[in-house]
Amino acid sequence: MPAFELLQPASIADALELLDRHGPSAWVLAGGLDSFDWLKDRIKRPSVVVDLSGVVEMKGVRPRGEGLEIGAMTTLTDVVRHPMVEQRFGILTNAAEAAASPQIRNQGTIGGNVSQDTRCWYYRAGWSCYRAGGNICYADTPQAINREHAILGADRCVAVSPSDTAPALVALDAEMVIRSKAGERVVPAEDYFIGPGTDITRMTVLRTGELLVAIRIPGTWAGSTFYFEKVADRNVWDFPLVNVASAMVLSGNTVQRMRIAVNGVAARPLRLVAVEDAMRGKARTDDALTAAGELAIQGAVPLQFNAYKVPLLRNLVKRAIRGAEGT
Amino acid sequence: MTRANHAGAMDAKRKLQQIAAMDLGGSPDDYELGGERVHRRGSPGGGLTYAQAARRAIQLGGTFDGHSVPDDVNPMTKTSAGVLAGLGLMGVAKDTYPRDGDTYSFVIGFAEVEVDVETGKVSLVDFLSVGDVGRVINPRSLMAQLNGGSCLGIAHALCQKWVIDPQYGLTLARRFHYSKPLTILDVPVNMEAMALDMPDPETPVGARGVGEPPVGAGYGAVMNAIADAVGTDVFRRAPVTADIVLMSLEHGKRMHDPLRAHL
Repeated sequence: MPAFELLQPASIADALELLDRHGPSAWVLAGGLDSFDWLKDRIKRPSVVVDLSGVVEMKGVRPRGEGLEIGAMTTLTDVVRHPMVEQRFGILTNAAEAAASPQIRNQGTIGGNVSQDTRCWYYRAGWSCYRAGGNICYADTPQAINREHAILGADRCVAVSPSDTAPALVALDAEMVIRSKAGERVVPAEDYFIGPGTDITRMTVLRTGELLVAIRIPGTWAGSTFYFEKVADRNVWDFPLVNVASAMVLSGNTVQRMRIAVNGVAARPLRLVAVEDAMRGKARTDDALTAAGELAIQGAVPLQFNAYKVPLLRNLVKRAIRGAEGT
Repeated sequence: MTRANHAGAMDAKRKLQQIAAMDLGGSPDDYELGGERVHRRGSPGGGLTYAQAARRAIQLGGTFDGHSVPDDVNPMTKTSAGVLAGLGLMGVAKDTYPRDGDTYSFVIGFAEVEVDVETGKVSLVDFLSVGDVGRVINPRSLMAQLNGGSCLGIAHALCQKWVIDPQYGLTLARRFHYSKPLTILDVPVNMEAMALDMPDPETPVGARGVGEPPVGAGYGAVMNAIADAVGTDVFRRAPVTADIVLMSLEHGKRMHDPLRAHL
């Protein structure tokens, strides 16, 4: 790895002080599973690394009102194993457990999982594309390796968000608690993630000097009917091709209200509001499911090798509404 | 391989016996091997340890420690022997056992897959490999090779591949795990291997060696199983990932290019 100064604050306040002092020179290190790829490849060469592993107040799951607050530095394994998460928000248990591998989950954090950078082959190999500050997209060509890339919301960049926990958090109406030296702001999960149209160089709203300190989950969807599915090339240690997360409050076979979010199809997890609106108050008939699937893929634009994501997205949305008992 | 190993081992045995006879009396045939010693028949605690015999071999030099090797050994064997000469007692010999035709080892794979037609994902639900590799000498090692080799073949059928940009020719899968080798969750818990244990008459111990054939067995069996599940026209390349299957099923015809370069 290139040489850097390693700073290890013991509190959020100290961490923010360091980030404020070092500005864009500082790299925030959580579990390291994303960071070390960049650093070891010597593609990113920060002069300062702020390691959050000692910030105990950023770890842990605690009740908050009717819901939960999860510290951003809580490992994915701790999220998976926590009874409070499993009892009422089981979709997050499933989503967190679908991420990566047991070893990675032991070290990787939920804050890191939602804030992680995209895995586009070209971007990760250090090619100077738009996202890297350059003037071209290497993936959006007739021959390029774009099998894993976006079918929705592309805007010069066609990379996707690779997080498995992100759509589950969007489906739970989670909120992201962001702090800087200037203060705190709380952003709905949906709005935490941004697409290339907003800022082509970043995946989230985090600005220089800001830290994601906690994720809040309201009691709104606690105990509802959950569905999570991830389709990937291999059964562990793989990013999603497409994943889906839904939370439904059912009355018999009728959907009273629901939330549904997908990832792997755009640069950010997408909440499928049109599908939610179409299913509200409707019975889960075959026709309704088919219509929901068609709504989900409206406006999809395939690249040379990712057209399969269109039927895959459509079918996963149908499954997420049909639920586990329908398969 | 087994025949050559046997020849070399028999040469080492003879030399152990010769050294024992030289130092302790009698003829070489009076001695046998056991418990890492060369000893008179019936006196297992006596004689010389292998280490003692090896030290003697170094002192004696010549054919005993590899400084002199038979004329009929392969030139590569001669070179290897030269590198190791003087380090101990060396058994080195050419395989001159009789041979009646060629013998091969075979491995057969049996695979059962489940294809999710809504996502295109292929799951391996059962797998068995059977080896016809001669007499089984080390069952644990053999089963590891059958299972392990099968896993590599299964990986090539399901998920593992290079990722190289075709325009610039640069490798994009720059870490081993980016090529997606098989994981333990991609094979069934009840995956098994067995061997026929039929001695090969062409080798002195009946063993024949297994090697790499399990890879082909694993790969071919899974590919055939996928074809059996969704039809032979669904794919023309491996690994048969969800995108290949789903597009073929969705459109009623293949939507991918066949494999042209091994990329």
